[in-house]
Amino acid sequence: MSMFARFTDAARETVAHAARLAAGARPPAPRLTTGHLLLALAETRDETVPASLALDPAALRRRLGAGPGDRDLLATLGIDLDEVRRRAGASASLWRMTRSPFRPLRVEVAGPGVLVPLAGGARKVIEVAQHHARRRGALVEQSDLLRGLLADARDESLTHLRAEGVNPARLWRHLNDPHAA
Amino acid sequence: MEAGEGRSVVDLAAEAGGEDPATGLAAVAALRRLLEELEAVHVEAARRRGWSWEAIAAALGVKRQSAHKKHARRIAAGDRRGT
Repeated sequence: MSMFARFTDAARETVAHAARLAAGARPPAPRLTTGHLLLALAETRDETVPASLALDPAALRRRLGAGPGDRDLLATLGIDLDEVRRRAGASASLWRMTRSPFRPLRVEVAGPGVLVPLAGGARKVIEVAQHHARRRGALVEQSDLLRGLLADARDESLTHLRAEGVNPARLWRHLNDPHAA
Repeated sequence: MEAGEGRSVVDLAAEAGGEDPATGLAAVAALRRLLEELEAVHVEAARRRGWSWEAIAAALGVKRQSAHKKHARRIAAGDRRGT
């Protein structure tokens, strides 16, 4: 059973987008990293993510060394990526995240034309997100993925967040109490 | 609308049609990825409707072995573990 069965559509879309970022990197990234997850979260965020995650996706792309996104590149050719995907029925439901039964540390994300394993840090993000969702008795949502990203103070994604002017401690407070100062 | 590296889509479009081949090539690479994605979507849909690999390969204009090698592992992984 796909681990996505316990994810909201938005959280599933974030992980799928991160997998597309990894596969679409030049050259393709061998693993989906926390950097891909952070950028994917910045580019697909919904209302469960606090406003204090004030990230400019374009600036984050620069910092991570990622080029322009496929949506913008295809627009230069007159192609509307979202419309093409909509017509083809390429929804997030076609994506799967699975843990190998024989190699439990190997978690893969697979979708149309993409199959990419998670790096150790990204796997931990998913596991922490699942832990928080289980504790609430709810599906994994985008805010849980953010909790996962914030869980490891040594992870490079926090370095990127701080460099972009985001205060991780304040963000954590807002995740737990949206009305906190 | 802001694209990557602080450039707007209009800037990118101008670059794609200009003398700098980098943006044009990156756009072609993005188109190739979209093509792969669309192929995977339709192959998966065909398999779900019971199409054989022979029929899929014929529709794509490729050899059966090529179609199978390219898509079977991903689809089988999904079927085995569900969605």
